[in-house]
Amino acid sequence: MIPTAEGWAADEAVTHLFTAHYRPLVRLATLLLHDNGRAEEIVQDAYVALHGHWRRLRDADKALAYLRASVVNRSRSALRHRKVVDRHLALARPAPDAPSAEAGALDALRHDSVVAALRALPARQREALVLRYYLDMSEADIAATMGCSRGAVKSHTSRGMAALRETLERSS
Amino acid sequence: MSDRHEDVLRRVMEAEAARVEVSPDALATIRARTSRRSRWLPFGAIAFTAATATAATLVVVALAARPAPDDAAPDPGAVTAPATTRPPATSAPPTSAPAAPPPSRSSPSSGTSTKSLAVYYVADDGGKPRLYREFHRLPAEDSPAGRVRAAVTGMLAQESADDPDYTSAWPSGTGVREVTVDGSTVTVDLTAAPPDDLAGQQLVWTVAAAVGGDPQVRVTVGGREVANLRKKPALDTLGALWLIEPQQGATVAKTFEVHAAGTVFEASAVLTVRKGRTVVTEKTITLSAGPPARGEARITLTLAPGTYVLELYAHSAEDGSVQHLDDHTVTVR
Repeated sequence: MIPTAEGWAADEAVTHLFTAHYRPLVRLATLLLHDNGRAEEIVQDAYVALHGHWRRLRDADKALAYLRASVVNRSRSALRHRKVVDRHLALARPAPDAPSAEAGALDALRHDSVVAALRALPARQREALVLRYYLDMSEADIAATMGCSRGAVKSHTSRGMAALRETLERSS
Repeated sequence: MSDRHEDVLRRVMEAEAARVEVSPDALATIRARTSRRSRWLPFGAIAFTAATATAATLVVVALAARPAPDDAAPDPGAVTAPATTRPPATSAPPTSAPAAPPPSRSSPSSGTSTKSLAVYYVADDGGKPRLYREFHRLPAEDSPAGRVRAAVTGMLAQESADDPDYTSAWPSGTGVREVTVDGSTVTVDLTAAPPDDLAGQQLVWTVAAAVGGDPQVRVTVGGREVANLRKKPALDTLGALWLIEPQQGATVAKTFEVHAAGTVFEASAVLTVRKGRTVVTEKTITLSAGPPARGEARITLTLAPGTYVLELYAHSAEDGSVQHLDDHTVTVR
């Protein structure tokens, strides 16, 4: 029998979906969380949950949508947990380095400033921007992944971009 | 917003993502966790023979006493008398192992026995997370607080649901420190706050099933209140269809009762029994009430010995597609 997605047992499904999507999903979670170790844990949790849900999904496309939504949700929860801890850290953290005059360091600085600005956004704005500009997802798919309406995706995206405008202006 | 800005953002995200490398043993880690789950099932199936019998009895008793089973949560020994109960064992410093059984067995004054308690979990219902319930045999002290403590500890234990479709909205490692029941107010002191509304509801419904009624649930972390919760309406919180009995992994006699509950269009659901890919039988079930009420139904099935998957679902009013599937693997001996 040809092993179609529908015919996969849960174990096979996890193996196939791991090969195809694990690294991109960890990268997605890292963009949402800025914490590589936690990002891997979250993606692994998502795969374990997928294994449990496999009989309901039975479909490789739905599985990817499930994994992405699961990663977005779990990242959001993890951030909420971390917020309190971060607030304390922010107080203790030294001010960011002043821009260096070295030409070689400039690109890295620009990169870091955009990353920092992205990190400072509210979680849902960051999610909308990452799903759109990193994964190139359609508005409808983003809405399904984030569990909100397309109107909400529009407003998260435009608010997020507006908040980043100044930083992006300096970086382009 | 200019395309230039979008391009910069794209490039930054791509470069940032490209820095991320993954650990080489990730697949092995995932496999170890999923196979640990799968291996539990046969043992679960045996252990649940007794649990199923007890749970079934509780359901019958509770239904007989309740004219409106709208929240479909039987209250094993509902308590109305005010009781302030602090399990003596918890006056000691909080235990360091949150997933371990409650330390209440160290209490000589109030008896501890194994009870069948309702534990709520989260599963996907047509793209929305909803609550589902299982009965678990858990060691609990003979008091409302003891039952709450046992049920919530069971709920928080990692991957404790028997049905692999059910998960918890709580992060792993969350533990119970102390439970106080004062009239219809239940205070649960945990090691972490509920991460979201869903986790709060999972807790509230589990607590409500343990004490009965519609309690006010105060969640504290180290004594500081972080949430004060009540049950939200069943319609927006519970899975639209529950296959209550038999539970996932149950072993049943060849003639057994199927107990279903839910809120579905025209109170009509379908039960399909599969053996592998073969459909053994398919029955239309009419629940006792339609939306917005939560109806129930019981039907009797007779099957030859073997392992079956019971699938309970409804057909969509719009396009006839399968909705609200809840399925359990059951062994007929």
